[in-house]
Amino acid sequence: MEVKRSAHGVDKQWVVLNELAFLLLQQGKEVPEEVFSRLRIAKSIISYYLLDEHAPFDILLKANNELSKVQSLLFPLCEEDVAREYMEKLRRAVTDDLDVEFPLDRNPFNLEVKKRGNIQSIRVRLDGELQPEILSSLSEWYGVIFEYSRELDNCIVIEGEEGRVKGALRDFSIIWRFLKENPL
Amino acid sequence: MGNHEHVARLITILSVEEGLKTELAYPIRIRAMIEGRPLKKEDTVAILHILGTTSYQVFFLEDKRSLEVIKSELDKMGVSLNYDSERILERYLERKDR
Repeated sequence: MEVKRSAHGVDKQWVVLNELAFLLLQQGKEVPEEVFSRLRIAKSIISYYLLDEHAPFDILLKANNELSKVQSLLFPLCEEDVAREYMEKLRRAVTDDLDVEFPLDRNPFNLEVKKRGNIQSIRVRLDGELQPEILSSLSEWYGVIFEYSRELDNCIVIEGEEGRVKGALRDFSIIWRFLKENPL
Repeated sequence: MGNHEHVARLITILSVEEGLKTELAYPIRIRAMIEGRPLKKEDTVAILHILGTTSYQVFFLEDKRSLEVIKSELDKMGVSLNYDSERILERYLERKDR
């Protein structure tokens, strides 16, 4: 599933500064190790912000702190024309006008399907669409969480105590079959 | 100019329309309320972060004078605008004026 959350250009500033750090290295400049460690920290923070819709905006400020230090370490190492070029790139990154892609640190594990103690989370693929209101009614009725998957399209995640999930799934199969046999 | 204990760095410039769809909606509305201005979709705002803190400030961007307004508002808070951020804002406002 595609990431839709915006990091307000902070992600693009990271890309610009990362590119600049490697350009300076290629030019034989002594780029301090601190630059790369701060870039790594900023990358993890931005990835976390982009992947977790509940992560607050304050998180991005932490990435911004790191990028600010990176910028202050890199720009003094630049020749005048490089500094001008990258300043312009940063300006475009700030206005989200730069066409670059942030390399997201994505966890290879499936986060939605899991079992922790007596709590289970399962995922069911649907052949049709269900109104979110129906999902919330089902949640109330069965005492489990019914929600659309954040990782895959057209999938429902059911999460809760194992026995309740099984009961909910048994009854939900009727809706599932109806959608399969009556495609929109 | 007073003593500045903190430095502000520009995080982003975005339209009010875009900002209202994000978690920045509340601070944008507050700034509009403070300035007693109606919110227009096509207006743009700059989001500045006071480095080392969890504070961020929203400023409306109108024309070249906006930069002076931002600097003077920050000055009142004992904050100076980061040099690079100032240049970026300057360039942005120059282009906006054209």
